[in-house]
Amino acid sequence: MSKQPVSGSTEAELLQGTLDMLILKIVALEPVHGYAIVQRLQQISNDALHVRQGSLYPALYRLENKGWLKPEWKATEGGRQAKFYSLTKAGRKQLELETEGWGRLCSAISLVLQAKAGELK
Amino acid sequence: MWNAWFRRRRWEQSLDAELRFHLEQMIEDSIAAGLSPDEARRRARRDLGSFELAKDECRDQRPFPWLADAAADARFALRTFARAPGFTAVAVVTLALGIGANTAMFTLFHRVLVQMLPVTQPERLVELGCVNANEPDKVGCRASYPAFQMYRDNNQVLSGLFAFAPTSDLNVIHLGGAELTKGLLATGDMYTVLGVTPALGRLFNPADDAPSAPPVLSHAYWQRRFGGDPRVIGQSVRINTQVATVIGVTPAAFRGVTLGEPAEITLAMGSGASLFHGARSLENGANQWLRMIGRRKPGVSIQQVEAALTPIFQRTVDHLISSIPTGMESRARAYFSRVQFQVQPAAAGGASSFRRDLDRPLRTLMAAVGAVLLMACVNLASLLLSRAAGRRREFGIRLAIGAGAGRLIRQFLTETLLISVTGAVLGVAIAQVSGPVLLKMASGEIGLQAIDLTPDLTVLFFTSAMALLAGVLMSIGPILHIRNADPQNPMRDGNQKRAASKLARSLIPAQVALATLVLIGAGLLLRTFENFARVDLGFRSENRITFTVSPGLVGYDTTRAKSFFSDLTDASMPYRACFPRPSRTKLWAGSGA
Repeated sequence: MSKQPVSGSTEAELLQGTLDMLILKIVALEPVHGYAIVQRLQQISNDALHVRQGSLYPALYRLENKGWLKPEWKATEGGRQAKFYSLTKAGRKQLELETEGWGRLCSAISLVLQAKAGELK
Repeated sequence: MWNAWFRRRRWEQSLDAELRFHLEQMIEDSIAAGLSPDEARRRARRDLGSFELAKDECRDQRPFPWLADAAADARFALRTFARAPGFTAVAVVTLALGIGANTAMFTLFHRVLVQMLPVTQPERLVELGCVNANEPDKVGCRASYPAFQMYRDNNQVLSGLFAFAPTSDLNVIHLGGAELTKGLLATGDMYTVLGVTPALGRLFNPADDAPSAPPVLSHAYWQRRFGGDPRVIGQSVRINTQVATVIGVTPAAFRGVTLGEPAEITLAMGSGASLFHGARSLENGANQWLRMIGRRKPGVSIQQVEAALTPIFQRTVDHLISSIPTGMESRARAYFSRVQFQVQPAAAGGASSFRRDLDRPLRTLMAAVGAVLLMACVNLASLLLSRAAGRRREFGIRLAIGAGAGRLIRQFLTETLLISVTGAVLGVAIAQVSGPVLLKMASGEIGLQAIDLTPDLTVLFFTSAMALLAGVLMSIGPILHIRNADPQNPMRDGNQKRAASKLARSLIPAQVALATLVLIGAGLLLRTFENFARVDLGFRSENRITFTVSPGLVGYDTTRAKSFFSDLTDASMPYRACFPRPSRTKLWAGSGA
């Protein structure tokens, strides 16, 4: 088997656990339904993040059961009934925690990636 | 969360609507982006499969996901049962009878042979008794009151010691009605040593241990004779010749310290002499009538108690022998040489002839009903096995479309457990009905009074364990069968049928062996009960009645009693018409003590 560098795919794979954080973040902006979450993520990430409904809805139900999201059936702008999610107090706290953790993880990873041979003693 | 389980339909509808909304938005957006409606729908349909998967994953996000599987299994099991009502009924009824018999027997077994007294730290209670080779039929040994005092006042091993003795019937008169009542005399500290708290009023203490001792009622007696009226506290009753004030009622769970001898009225011993014309005098060192129960101090073993108290026993025996007239002395010495002091655990109460008599029959019966249940399980197992063989197509198809063997086994276990749990619920009801019948068969009315047959937690735990065990036992064969089920050819007649029947055949010897065992056991048991029920009296007992008259209980002295009895046998008295041919009348003009 030849060893070839695997290029990073154009559609970034979501790290395990980051989907929950992203959903919380999108919902924190304003109450939205599931379809809109996919749209927003795609839009904000410049089309880099595609979430399949197969992973989105289980995640939404999981977050709802943890008490971080509160669902509510409401009419959309088009006048159709949809299930809107909003953030609960506990959800807001969780988002803060995860954002903080993410920041630490990011800086730690970039430190490792920027390491140069000369810096090691 | 609530909706997820208890309004399942609404929850499913909501999930469906949410995903459908998503799908329709996708189609709309695709059309808006310039796709033809047909193409948009085609793309959406392509995603449809993933929607069903997503739904399943959403369901798994509900709290306790296994609950969904269990509920689905149960629903499926109920549908299976509905298709085979005959089998289901046979299985449930068989198990109900088996588990019912076991529950009833276990209740008895537990109450008679295992359960401890409802007092504080019953395991520290010991009975001071002896092994008496002269009278092997008797349980427990008796001591005189002075001897009891020696034990109580000269030991460092017990934190408390009390003496008690059942009395002959007490004549209790309340509001003009007289009734003979089972009594118990006890030293004033009985309840303190045991640690019994009253259900009502107060219990007596050493200060009450006087000639005019106040009576304490048992819960059952209070319910029966006084209708459970709390105003009975402070009321006067006449006991034999004494008038006394009721002070309290013991809790329902406390039925005395001797199994099978529940006292209805308990009095402090100081009243014995006045109640029985001196016959229960405490000073009499020759009157050996008391049994003793004490509480071990923490860290003191039964052997240590026995070692510490044996010298006292020896002293009381020496004292007794020395007080005996010289001619009788050697016989007394010979008698006591065959009596050995012994301290026994009394956690379940004092030694009881009731318990001793029931010990063997109960153990035999317990083993017998256990074997019956085992047999029922084996029978049902072979029934289930042949059903499993009949269902091999169903199992094969389910394996073929992707169910794991584990999932099938769980389904099957759910079915059998549903049967066995239903059987257990019915079984408890059967036990409720059959328990008293069994008890009456084994020990008559005394047993019914002595033993409470309402199932408690221990019994219910036992029954649940039985149900679980029965369910698992029944499933082993069929599960082995399922594991070998072949997903390749569910439609074909394979060799599976033969495998199942081979397994079923191997159960036949077990069934025959168990049936034989039960039959033999039942036969033996029947003999035992026959012996209990039919003691040859040596005369025709039809139309004979016996009764006792105790004039002493209402204060007749010997002279008055004698004239009363001569009146009673006088042929000229009018009531003699009721007894046309009295056989030789034998009457005792005793004091009734």
